Amino acid sequence: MFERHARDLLRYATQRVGEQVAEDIVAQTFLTAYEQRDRYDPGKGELLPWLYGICTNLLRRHHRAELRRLRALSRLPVETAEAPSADRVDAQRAVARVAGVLARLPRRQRDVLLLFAIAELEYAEIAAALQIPLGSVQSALHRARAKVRLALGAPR
Amino acid sequence: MTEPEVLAVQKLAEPATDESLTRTWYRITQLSAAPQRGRRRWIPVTAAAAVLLLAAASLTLVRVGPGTLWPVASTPDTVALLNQLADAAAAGPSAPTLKPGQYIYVASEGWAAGFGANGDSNTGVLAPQPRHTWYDPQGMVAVKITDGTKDFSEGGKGETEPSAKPPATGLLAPTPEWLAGLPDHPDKLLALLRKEVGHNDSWTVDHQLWDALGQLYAESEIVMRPQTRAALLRAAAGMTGLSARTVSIDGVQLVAIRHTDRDSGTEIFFDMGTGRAVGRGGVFLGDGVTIVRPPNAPPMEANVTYQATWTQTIVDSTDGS
Repeated sequence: MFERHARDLLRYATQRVGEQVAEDIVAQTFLTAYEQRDRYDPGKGELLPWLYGICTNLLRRHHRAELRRLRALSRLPVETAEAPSADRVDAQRAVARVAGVLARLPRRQRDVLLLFAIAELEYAEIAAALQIPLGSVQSALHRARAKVRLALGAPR
Repeated sequence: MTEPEVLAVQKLAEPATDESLTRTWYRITQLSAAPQRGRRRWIPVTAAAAVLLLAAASLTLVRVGPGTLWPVASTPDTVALLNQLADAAAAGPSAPTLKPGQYIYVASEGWAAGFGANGDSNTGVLAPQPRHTWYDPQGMVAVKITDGTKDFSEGGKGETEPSAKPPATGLLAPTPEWLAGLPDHPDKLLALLRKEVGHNDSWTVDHQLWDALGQLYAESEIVMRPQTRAALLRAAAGMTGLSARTVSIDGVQLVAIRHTDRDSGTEIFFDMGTGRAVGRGGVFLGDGVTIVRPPNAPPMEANVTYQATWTQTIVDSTDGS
């Protein structure tokens, strides 16, 4: 289980709260999964979305750290040490804009968007992971994506 | 999923590194080892074991507690690393033949934390610990130890106090002949070494074994056959509780293979290019202990209590240093 899923969970958690905290959270995710193994029903879906659900719950304790991280990313200066290419500047601006949007999203929209984009879960898997109705996933994702799209298209 | 806004979000997330994966594994073992109240004490331990049991159906051990096998399998990347090291070690030079009266001279440089200064047993202060040691190859008995100026083997509370009855030849008192006779088959070798270590009331078998292997390398690595070096590493791949990290010592990148048991991490450093053991170290993983690193100490993990690398040569006398 660790070998199969730890890398994916780490990528997801590291993006949200940074490497060090992410490692603690992913370790805790596996131990919590074992302690709560009776709650896992293979008939209701794959193991990985269930693990993402546990991980996302644990991440909520680090809400402030996540926001600090996103705000810092949104303020990243454009590198000046070397003459950066226009593409690179554009990419850095895009990262800053997306981070800024993510920092301003309501928590549920951010959870849904990151589970969709980074964890690459399906709608139903996100619903199972977060234990919310499928319709809520769809509407949260629609709104979150629209905000990111708007930010990417808007002049800085 | 190629929409630009989704791609933009994906770009925020870098792939997890192997080191991060290994550290996460450490944390599981640390969480497993952290003292818990009452019955919960063993739940995380068992949980970690179960994680592995789910991952590897071939894993058969689940016994828990002192004197038994650590119930956390070695991380997959560690097993892969050990096998890579074994491949490199197998191609190494053949073992030298020692003439009668020759010694194995080991010069080690490193840092060790001293505890108890100013009456504070919870604070360890790192200090340089150079050591020059001459081993009689018949039992790897240290016949002379110095730090470059002081000879610890002369009177007083020496480090080479002869024991009344020397231990039988084996893992704890090896000879070149004993080393040459070790089986090259990793499973047979591991079984033999675990049997040699025996059980203990405080530590798991594999923790003791890794500690004993660290000592074995420290005193006799130079006289090992390349086949033995390779077999030891492949045998280690069958041990439980091992994890890996890279460590830079004096500008040289080494692989540290660590065995974790409760709050103790015992490391052996390997040269990735040659697969040979070149040093060892220790880390404290519990709470309540502070390690003070003086300004002149090299960069090292915050919880390192000991780390040293060595060079080994065959010499004709104990003269010098």
